[in-house]
Amino acid sequence: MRLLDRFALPAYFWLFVAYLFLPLAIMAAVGFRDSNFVAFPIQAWTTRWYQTVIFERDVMSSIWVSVKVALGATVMSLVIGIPMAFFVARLRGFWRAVMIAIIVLPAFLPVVVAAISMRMFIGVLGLQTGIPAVIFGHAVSTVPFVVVMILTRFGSMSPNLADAARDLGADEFIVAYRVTLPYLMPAIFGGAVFSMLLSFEDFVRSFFLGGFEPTFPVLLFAKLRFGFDPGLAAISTMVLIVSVLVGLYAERFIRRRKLNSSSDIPALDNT
Amino acid sequence: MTAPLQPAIEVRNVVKSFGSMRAIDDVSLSVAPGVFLTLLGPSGCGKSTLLRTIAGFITSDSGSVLIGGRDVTSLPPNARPVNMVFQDYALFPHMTVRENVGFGCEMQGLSRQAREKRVDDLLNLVQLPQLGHRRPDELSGGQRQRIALARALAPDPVSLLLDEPLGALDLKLRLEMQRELKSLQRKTGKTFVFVTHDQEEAMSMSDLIAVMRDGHIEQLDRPEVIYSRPVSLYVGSFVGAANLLEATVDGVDGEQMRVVSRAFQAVLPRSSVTTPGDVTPGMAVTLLVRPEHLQASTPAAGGLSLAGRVSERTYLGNRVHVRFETEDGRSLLADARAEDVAEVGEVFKAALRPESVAVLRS
Amino acid sequence: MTRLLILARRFGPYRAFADMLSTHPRLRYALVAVVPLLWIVVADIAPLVRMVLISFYERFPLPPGETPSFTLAQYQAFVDRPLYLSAFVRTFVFGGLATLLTLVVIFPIAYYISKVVPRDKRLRLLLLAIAPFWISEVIRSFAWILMLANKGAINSFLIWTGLIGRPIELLYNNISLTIGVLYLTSLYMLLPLYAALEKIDDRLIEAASDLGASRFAILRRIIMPLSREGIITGCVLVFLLVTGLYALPQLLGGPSNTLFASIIGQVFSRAGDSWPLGSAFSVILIGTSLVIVAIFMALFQSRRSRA
Repeated sequence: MRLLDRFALPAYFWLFVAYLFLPLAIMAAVGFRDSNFVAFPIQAWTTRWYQTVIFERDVMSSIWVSVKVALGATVMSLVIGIPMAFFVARLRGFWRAVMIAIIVLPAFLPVVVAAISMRMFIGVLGLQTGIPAVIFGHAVSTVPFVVVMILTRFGSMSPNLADAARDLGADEFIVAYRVTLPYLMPAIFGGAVFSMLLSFEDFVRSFFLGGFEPTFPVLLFAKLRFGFDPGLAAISTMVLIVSVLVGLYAERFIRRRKLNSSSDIPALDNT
Repeated sequence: MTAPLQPAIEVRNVVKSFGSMRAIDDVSLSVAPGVFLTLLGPSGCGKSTLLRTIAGFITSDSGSVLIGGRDVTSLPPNARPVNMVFQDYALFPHMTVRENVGFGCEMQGLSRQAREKRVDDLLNLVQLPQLGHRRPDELSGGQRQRIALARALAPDPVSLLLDEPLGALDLKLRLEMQRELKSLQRKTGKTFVFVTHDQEEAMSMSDLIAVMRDGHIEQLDRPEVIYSRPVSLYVGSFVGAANLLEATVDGVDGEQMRVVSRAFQAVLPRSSVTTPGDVTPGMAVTLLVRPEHLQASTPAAGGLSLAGRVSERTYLGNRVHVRFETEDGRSLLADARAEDVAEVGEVFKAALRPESVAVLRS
Repeated sequence: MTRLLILARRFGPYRAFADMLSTHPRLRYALVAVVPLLWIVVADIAPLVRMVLISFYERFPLPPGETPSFTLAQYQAFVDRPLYLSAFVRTFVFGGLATLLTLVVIFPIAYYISKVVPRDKRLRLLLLAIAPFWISEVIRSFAWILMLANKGAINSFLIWTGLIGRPIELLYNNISLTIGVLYLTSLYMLLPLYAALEKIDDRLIEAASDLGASRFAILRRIIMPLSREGIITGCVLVFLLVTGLYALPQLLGGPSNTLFASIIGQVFSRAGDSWPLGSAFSVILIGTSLVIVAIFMALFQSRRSRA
């Protein structure tokens, strides 16, 4: 029995970790292969792919599109998600359950269905396929995460906090700016980073809602169907590293803030 | 204090309903400046609702609230010259102690210098000048409590409203804070309106106590009066331990009256009736007897004597709590001197002076 | 900024407005609710309603002047064409199997992190196990292509060791599809399972083993029932994810194991007016998923109440 705990389970766990990371490591290695096509074993190594791929116009412009979309979707999901969380936080019982169910619905729909229903709907809003449509589609899918994260934080907030500020002379705008928003900041920040990453890695929505400017996953998907070269491995590796670092940083940030019950949020205003 | 006759807080005929429940049922109240008033009652009696109505968090259905003689009924909380200390303190977790204490002055638009000065003064007043740069979560419960007081006092309010602020502290700290709160009130000369469900807390600090029940004030008076001359069974049994003895008025004669029951009879002064209205022969009454008035001794003439077998004896050092069962099946509690008392199973005889009995019409 | 807001209060109309907000919580709430309610209607409900409507149209967009006529033709097409139906059935069978596989593979991982590893190291291992999930599905598929291709890492390695003479077909079949899907789903299983297992009081397990329960009995009688919520959540999440997969099956799967979501996508990107057909298929996909999930949860719920 102790054998299981001491050896079998750890071995299994590390095997699983290998399963997770080995393909990524291989991909990173392929980027160093000194040849135009991908095959093993790698005989000669070069850093040339990592250097040249960042000058490839279509790749770089797709990354730029992805960044724009991610930023747009993030801003939009905050603009919608924060009031949405305020709205739901006050609801109780039946209506709360109904609202939360509707709000998280987009996160549970099959992605294809979510994407094409959006594709058929954007016309009603006067949108064409293109970057604005992609941003809208992404925001629809990220708002639920923002709302749920902020709601969780809301749950730990004493209602007296806002009342205390009102009592001491603050009007509603000052209450929001000085008390409520700073208190929610870890969740807002977490929701923002999460939205950004989700948007950046999304393929299906970008594919169906995008116009002539593909996002990076869409471009990569198209290229992969026509064969691949080490340059793709190189750029994918770089994107991967940035994504993971941002994800881990955000995770750490949120956890530290939550542990300290948000005690070291930089003050918004010291005057 | 230019107008000493002006009440600090005045509540006129305030009514507030939540759905079909009347949380405040036509309450009027006037608090003179510098008074420590406690709203006392069990949870759900409307005391917190009343306090929050004064603060402005709750808009009453009808009636008005005046603070310092000014009608503030329609003003939002941020425009009312009262400040609140919350049960959970509600210190802003993302601000330092100094920023917390200075928040009210900041809202008043005070200059930075004036604000810093005020914060220093208040931190000195609550004896925590060294903690200014800590965050609330780095403070102990008692320290948070004091910072919450300092924060509420900083904008120099007409009155301080305290919503069960000692509830979260342990007993020892609570007693300490009670003393400190009282001395703080004396030092600042502010009107305090204090809400609690703890009658001992109310007794030890207040100048006046308003005992609340189902949305109205049952009795408003000095603590000693509330304790010794309660106007109702509700007040009498809520404030302190009480032995309740049902009896019937047998006869009324001038300033005296006779009450009888199966176990005793006694002649009591008519002034011991504390409920409004007069008593007539044949009326059912309840005698309220405090345990400390039941002393072991031989009966005095005209007074009341009770005897029974001791069933429980709790030794408290200088005092002994004795529970004894009378022949007609009552269980009574006496707070007696240690040397006077019989052991469990023995007979305990107690007597009390007629003046210490409160007679309530049932 | 605060100073500005305070100064603004000297401006009468602003102050009146701010005070009105302060004294009227309902008005405040109504103002806050406007944007969320609009969004819920426009972004969450309307697109689905429109899709359901379109699924009953004969064609869409309508030619000018034609009034829409409602028809069940699209749903009829689904039943009539074996190509669609078989992909549909395959999707749900595959979804069920993949969910089960994920549960079996991930449960020991979740158990190890939450119950065997000391508390202070748990988070680090958990982060290690979920780190790859910040990466796009497409990039992860690409990484697996490089592993599984005929000239990929695994075949090259096996040939190098002399275990095989020529490459085995690993890519574009059920093997590659399964490996890739598991790679996507493990996070959705791991997090709920971990959360549920973490909550189980270790003393319960100690108490059970103190009373002489075998390892297997502890697993079956203590751990499984107490982590049931996590298992349900994980399975539902994974099942919904797998039945809606689009990009990964196209990159890693073969032509013989096309999944239903891909069919929907193809119907959609095809030239011509196939919106109604795609909509009908989407409605069928959502409806079936929901029914299966509902049945699954009902089964579990009833079993729990009996226990």
